[in-house]
Amino acid sequence: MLLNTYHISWLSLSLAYILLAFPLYIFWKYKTGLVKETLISFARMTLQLALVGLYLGLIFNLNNVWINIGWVFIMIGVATITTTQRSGLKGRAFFVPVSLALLVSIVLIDTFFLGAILQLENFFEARYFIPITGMIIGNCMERNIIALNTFYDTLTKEYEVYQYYIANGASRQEALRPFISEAIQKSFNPLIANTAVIGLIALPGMMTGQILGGSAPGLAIKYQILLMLGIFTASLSTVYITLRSVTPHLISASGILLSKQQVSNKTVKQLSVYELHQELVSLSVGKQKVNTDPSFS
Amino acid sequence: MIVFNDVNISHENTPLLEGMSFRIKKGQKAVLKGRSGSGKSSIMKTILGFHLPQKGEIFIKDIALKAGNEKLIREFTSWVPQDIWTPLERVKDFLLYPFSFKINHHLYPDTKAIGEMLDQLMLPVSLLEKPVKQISGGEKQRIALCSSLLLKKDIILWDEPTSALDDYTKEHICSFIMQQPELTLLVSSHDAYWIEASDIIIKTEEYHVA
Repeated sequence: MLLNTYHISWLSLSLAYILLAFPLYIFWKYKTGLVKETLISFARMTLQLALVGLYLGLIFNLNNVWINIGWVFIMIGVATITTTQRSGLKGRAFFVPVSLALLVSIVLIDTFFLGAILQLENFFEARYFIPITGMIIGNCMERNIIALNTFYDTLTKEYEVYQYYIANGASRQEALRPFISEAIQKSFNPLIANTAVIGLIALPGMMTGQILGGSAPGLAIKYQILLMLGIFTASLSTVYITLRSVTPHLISASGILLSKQQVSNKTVKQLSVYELHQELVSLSVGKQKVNTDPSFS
Repeated sequence: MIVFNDVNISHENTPLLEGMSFRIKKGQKAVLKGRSGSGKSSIMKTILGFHLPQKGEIFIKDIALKAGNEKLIREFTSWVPQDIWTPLERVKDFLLYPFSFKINHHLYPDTKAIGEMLDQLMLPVSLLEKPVKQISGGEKQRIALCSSLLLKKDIILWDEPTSALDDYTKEHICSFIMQQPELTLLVSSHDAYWIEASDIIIKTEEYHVA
């Protein structure tokens, strides 16, 4: 493809930093205490993007299937660590369900997107596989952080409601349904609202980038629509799998809600294989967990 | 139906109640009386198996309460806490949610039964179509009481069921419950109506660890 985008020289790019002078002046004048933070975050942004530019340049040149797959695994790992840290639900017991949820969602959506719709000759073609997967992972992570935070916070605040349903005959998953509902509502409302106004008050980044890069607007829009659909479904799948599979680690067998500290201290060894297996079976069969475990509440 | 034999209960590792003994027979109505923080809610949660007693024995329908038995015991009970929250939108969905549980499917009430029960609790049927956000705390609690009665469990445990209601409504609900001979009831309440009408009064302060 012929790239007819105007070149930006390093010199003119550095001149663009002059733009920061105005916000910095206002921050300083009003003693907001934001000057230092702003300088640090823009320095970080520059460094990180420069590194990513180098990496991606290298990865795109090599365009090796295994390196591309490896890169996606690194992205999943970073997204998982960010999710567990920002939700405060750390520890290996959380790393496994969150990264699996991301992996399953990515495999599903990528297969559909790159395989069935774009029908790429090389499925792992770096130019498609990496940016598309990256954008999906980033969005899944955002949704998942909001969902996990809402889920745990509501459960802590309204634990008596969980007990209310348990005391009136609910299984664990039945009693958790209102909490999963709340978490899904809180995490998807912003995305739904955004989707409704896209193109009107915001031109999405990828579309803008493609148009600047020389694509016809018609094609850029098709990509954008595909991406929005992919992001939406992958996010829901990530959130759903995560919420369904973390519950055995949040609530003890006798029905006590564990604190974030206790949860973080749980290791994979302590994580009951039986419970995890039950959750996965109930997920795959699409049935409620039957009361085979006498001690569960 | 409910037997306590020299029971000690702790709350977050601090002893709360000691040496509790009482017996509630089938069809009897009992009230837990005592100031806030004297352990009324903890007693109910212990009966439901959310806490295990530190000492002593508890029998619910002749079944000993111990780890592993909670689920069995909860099949006979219905409990309504003081504050209830729900993300469900319509009042009707909130009322019927407990009937969506597998073990309660067969109890799903028809429109007539729901209407009659709402009437006894002095709630209009039109409330069912309202958004939950638009009804008051007292109405929400009575909707939960309605579900609880429609579940037709042997033992009903209600935590401060009428604290948000006016005297007229309190009296009506209380006398309706007292006229149900099959129902075994344990409520916690400050209200004179419950205290006067009950067969058994359990004063939690007598067992409270200061």
